[in-house]
Amino acid sequence: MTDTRCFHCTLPVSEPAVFFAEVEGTQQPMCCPGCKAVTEAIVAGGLENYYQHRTESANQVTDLNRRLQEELQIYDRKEIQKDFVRPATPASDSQNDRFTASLLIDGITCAACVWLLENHLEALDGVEQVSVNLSTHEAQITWSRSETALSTLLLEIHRIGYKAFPWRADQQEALLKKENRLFIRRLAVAGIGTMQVMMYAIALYSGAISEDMPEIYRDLIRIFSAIVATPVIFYSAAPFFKAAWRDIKIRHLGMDVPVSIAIGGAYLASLWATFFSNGEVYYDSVSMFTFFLLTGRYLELRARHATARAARALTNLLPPSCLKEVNGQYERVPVADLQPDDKVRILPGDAIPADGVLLNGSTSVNESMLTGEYLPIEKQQGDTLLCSSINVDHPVDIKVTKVGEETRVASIIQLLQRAQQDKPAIAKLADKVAGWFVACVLLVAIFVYWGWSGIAPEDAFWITLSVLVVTCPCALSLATPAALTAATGYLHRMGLLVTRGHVLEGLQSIDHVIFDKTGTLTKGELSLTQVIPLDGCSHSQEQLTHLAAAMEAHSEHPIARAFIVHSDSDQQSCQQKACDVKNHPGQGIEGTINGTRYRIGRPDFAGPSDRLEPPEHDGQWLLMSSNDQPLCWFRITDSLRPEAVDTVQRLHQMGKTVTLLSGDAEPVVAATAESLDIRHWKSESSPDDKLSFIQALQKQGHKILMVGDGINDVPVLAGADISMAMGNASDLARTSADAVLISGNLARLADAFNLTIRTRKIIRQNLAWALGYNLAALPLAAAGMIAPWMAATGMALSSLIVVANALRLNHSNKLVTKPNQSEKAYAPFEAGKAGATV
Amino acid sequence: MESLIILIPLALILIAVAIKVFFWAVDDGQFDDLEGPAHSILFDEPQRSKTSDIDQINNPIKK
Repeated sequence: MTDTRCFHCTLPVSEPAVFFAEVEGTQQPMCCPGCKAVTEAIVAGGLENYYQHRTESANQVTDLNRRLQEELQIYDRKEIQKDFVRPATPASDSQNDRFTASLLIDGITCAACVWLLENHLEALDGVEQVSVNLSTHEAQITWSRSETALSTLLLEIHRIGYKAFPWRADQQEALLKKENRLFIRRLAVAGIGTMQVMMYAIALYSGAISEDMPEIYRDLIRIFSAIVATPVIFYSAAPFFKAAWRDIKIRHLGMDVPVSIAIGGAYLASLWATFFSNGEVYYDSVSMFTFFLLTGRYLELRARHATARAARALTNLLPPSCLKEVNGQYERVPVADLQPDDKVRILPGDAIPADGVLLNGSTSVNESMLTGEYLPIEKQQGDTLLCSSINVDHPVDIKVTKVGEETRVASIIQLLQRAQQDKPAIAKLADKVAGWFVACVLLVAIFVYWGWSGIAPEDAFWITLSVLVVTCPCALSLATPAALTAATGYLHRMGLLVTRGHVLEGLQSIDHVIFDKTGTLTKGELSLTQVIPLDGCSHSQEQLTHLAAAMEAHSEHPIARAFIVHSDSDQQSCQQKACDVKNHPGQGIEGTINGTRYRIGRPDFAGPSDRLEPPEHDGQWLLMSSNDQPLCWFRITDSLRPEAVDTVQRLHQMGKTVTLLSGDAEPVVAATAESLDIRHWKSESSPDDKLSFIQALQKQGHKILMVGDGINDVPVLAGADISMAMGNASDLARTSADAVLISGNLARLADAFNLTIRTRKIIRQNLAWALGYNLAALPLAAAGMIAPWMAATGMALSSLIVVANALRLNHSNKLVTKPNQSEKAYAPFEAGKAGATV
Repeated sequence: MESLIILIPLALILIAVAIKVFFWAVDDGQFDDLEGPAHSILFDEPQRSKTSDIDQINNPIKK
């Protein structure tokens, strides 16, 4: 098989390609109708350039439909727009209808995407200006509201393969922006100041070496150096002083304390030397030191902002909407508008928006998000349907009984808040080292001062100061943040998004890994795992599957999807066409292929006369019959993720205890545990049980990593030492977890452990180097042998070495299992969700 | 050497101007996206307008 790849998203296309789109006169293969539609839209807009300039492939596109259009129309309501749309010109101008909308665009992979979006949107009627920020994925669109509806713009964005969400520029976002700008200003002052002071320093040094500079000029240059260095100290270095003051107030010796002592001490001493015309000045060292430290902190800040944004993007989804009956008609309304006693229509595949009672008919719902049970549960008229479970079978009406805070989900959130309060803290290595270091330096400085006052009282102050400058913990304070920043960035590229700071440092102390089952170790969707032909059946297993797939192609039921996915790899099945297909809700499906009548479904439906019993009790079994003659059994289960076995094995090899903690029934959990070689497991656990289970382990001194996805995992995710949510997990689980496995590939988890070990090694090397350098320089400085320029050069060099060492983490390819293709483009986490809601 | 007495203060004024300009650039949002603009120069801007050629000839004021 040749390696054909989709021209748009570069995912592999099964041969022969079925979909094509014409780009610049050539028919290009496409993987799906979604990508085809997007490519055609791009070409029709005259924007083929996108394909030449892009450096990353696009994400695969889910099909657009009427449903999406309807959902987007909710954004045309003025009361919803007020969060993210503002007038483009002062509001006093009464006739103007130009507005600016802030949107967050999902799916931007490289600069060509920005170009494509801007050009595509600007070509639309009524659109005045579009600017897309590549770093933050934020878009500002200025358009005329009377000419074009906002939903049209959003739909256009979807049409070229991106997703748009309202970007509510709230206070937190405004703060991030302000912090970023303030930091750049500080950097600029420190950088420009350093350059200028260094130029003066060259004059001072050459004067000192040739010894022919008149004192008046020396003093003049010193005074101007002081003038330039002063804003560097009071403006750029202000955050260090503030942090140090805060540390001292809470009696904690952090890294900022020695930094502030060194900067403040050297600056004051230089001022003293300038005004009394003796000693040495250190303006250049102080400025450069500030600049270096700020650069390190700025990189850290940018990484932090990037993850904060990514984490916030996770919660910025479409506002949930539902179909509410108003005067006998169904209307799409935001879920927030629902009241008890409202009547709501729920279509198959939709999430149930509030707790309610089933008014008519029967259906089955998937409650796996709430309970971990993977098989749909039958619901009859009068039964209660829980908020956040998913309707599987038919359209039904419910009467809302509880909304918002009263629903079952909200009670789980309360449990979450309780768990967060008890969350154990993880001590940071660098802070521990810093405490000792500061104490030692201060002691040594006092000792040196005391020693020299006995030998040469007039030199004592200057030598003590050079000790403080030489031991200035520039490299030491960069050692940890540089390594953590590099490792976090690396993990993000591999598909693991770290959203809380303590994850990387905490992972290495984890000795117990707990997995949820449904959706975490398993895919969370039904698939066909076994075909057992009955006696007297003349078809092969493959033929049976093809026959079933041909019939199930007419059904929307999740069970049908299990067959269709199965047959996708094989084009032959497409040649068989079923006609006359009828769905029997809750029973099965029947249809005619080549004149033979087939039935698939419950045993009493497919073969009512035979009264067959399924071969095993575990899993869900479907019977297929032809002309009332039983043919075979299909077994439908939730299958394991392909990498799960390997991951569990690797975790065992690392010496971690692995536990399976599920809300599902005992036989299923036991079977899963056995196939993964997991010795400890616990079934039928409620969210409360799960939380008390890990809290009991924590009391025994275990450090716990929890991996989960459902709403029922939320409290336990919040309570674990470190928690990870799967990329397609519920919003609540993703926002309460410390890290999100965006790619959904469990192998990344084992990789993360490896990377932590390596990160820790690098941090140790860095700390050892920084401390070693300081210790080696200390006796020389104490002996009065170090000139200011030597101290400054040494400091810069040791900082650069530390940063370069940390950057090695970016190239740790061998640690990590190769990403597979589907993961590389990692079909964004919304893809799974979109599949459920669109 | 006497020229230093004029040159150094002059340099200080230049620094002040440089920082002022830099601050203006920061407030103007020029540092908000550090990646995108580097690439944007590589893209050809296609000559497209929302009005057709005939409209433009008849109505030259409109862009």
